[in-house]
Amino acid sequence: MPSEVRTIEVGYLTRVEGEGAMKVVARDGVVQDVEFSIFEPPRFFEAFLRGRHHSEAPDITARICGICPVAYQMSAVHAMEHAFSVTIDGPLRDLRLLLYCGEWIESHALHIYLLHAPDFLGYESGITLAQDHPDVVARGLRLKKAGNEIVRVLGGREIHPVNVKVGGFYRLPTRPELNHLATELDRVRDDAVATVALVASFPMPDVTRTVEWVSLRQPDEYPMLGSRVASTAGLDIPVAEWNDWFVEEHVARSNALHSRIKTRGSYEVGPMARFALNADLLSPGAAAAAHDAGLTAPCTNPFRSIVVRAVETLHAVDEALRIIDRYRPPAAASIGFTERAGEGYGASEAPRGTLFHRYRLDAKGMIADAQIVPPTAQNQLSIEEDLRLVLQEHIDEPDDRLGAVLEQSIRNYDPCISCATHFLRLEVDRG
Amino acid sequence: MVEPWTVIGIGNPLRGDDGVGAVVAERVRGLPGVCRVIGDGDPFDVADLLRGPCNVVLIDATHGGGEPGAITVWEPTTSETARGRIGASSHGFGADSAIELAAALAPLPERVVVVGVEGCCFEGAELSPAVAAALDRAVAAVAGVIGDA
Repeated sequence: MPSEVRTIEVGYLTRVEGEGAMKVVARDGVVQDVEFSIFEPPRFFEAFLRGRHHSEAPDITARICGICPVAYQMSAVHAMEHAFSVTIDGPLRDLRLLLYCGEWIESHALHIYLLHAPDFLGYESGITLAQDHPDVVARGLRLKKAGNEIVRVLGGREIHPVNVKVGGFYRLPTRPELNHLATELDRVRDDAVATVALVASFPMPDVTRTVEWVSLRQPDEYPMLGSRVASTAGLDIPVAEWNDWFVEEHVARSNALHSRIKTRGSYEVGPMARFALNADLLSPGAAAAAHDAGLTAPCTNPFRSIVVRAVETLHAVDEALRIIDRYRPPAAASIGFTERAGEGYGASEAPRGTLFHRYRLDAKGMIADAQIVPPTAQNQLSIEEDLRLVLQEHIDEPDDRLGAVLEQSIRNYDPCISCATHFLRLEVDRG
Repeated sequence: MVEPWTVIGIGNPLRGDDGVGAVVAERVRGLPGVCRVIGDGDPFDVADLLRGPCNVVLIDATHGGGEPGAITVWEPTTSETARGRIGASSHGFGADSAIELAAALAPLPERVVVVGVEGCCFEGAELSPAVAAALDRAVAAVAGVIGDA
């Protein structure tokens, strides 16, 4: 008898950023195959960058994602600065960290409250959650707004910031602007603490999985920026050696490239990875909140990623306040450099994981070749492995319930597929 | 006296026709009665803007199977017929959803009007010819809404 393939439309507003589809094949209640595919347009941006001047890359790449433009911009400028042997440190680096804190706060708050919390609380969307619990969702929006404000002041506008350049910034913030940000951050710090307690109280599916977690790692700072990549399996390399260790492969079912660690296989980037490798570097307040929430590193339940994300939000608030407090203006908004031919590598920690950029430049500083490895593409194999585990636990449930828990599982990764479009289809083939 | 309006464009100019909202929002900057123009608005932040005192015009690409470049104007708070029409946003959360979220959190302004421009191509840095040709009509539609107030 031919297998029956039932197609269930999981929903138009899918609460993942972009478009994806799941196909599940099960026989006699045993999961045989799981495919999670995303539809990423042909690598438009890598091609679009070729022939452009290096100074255009920060603004062009910031357009790749409306949710994490700072990450794209930061990885791009760090790659260019690597190519030109420029080192950004002191207050200029602090300002970049501050900008990054803003993006973490806005992105994490958005995902926690409007995209992921509804899964745990049994709501179909952030809208229906807001209808029943407006005060809870309003707290998330307050947090997000504080993050937006940092990005607006440091980045020049709330989204697709335009103030970052190779060598530093176009314009430095004034002390009154920074004091304004500190006031806003002080106002939402209690919201960030309350967020950790809230999500730690959510009912959690009982799933345990370990994977090779990968993130930037440095001895003295929870990673947003950094020059070394580490993993829980002992990897510790400079960003410039990325392509010696990681490989992107075409998979027929997806337009996105799938990443693997050579000779080993899947790995995971993002909050779970950062926490696994850097929990000792959280702000004291975030570390205390993690402790109170019962989190220890590594966290092996992928559904608790929402708790890790909340802890990181509090860390970003604390870190932003610390940077503003110690900030003394640098002599200039940017430092000079000489363009030259060469190759540059940069990585930073986007809210959803390590984002790697590589550029080859000619003697006039024009981009000859660009490589962008986004976190969601890196996590695709790991997402599939999670889905396999979760599926086997829930395979006997009706398709609608199954679809809901699978979506919840995918959202553990906060996948940003807006680098694609938006629609999630689930096919369950039970034979 | 002309009533103040906030005009918000939703979309990403590097995603083909998705960027039409931002382009139109930029073009209506300076129209009498426009108190604020935000191109390329994040739909989640739109919900926050809808809590202000101004009436709002949202401009977004639509992806409803209509003729590319077709303009549709509707008020989601008073009409259910347009639900689901919006769908081209790369954020997966279009104007209707932003309005619904805002309504759950606080009273909406007196009028919230959506001007939709039907898109057909959502890749690349350019608007499709059909949508580019519709820009003047989209601007006129926004001006019409504001002028009708």
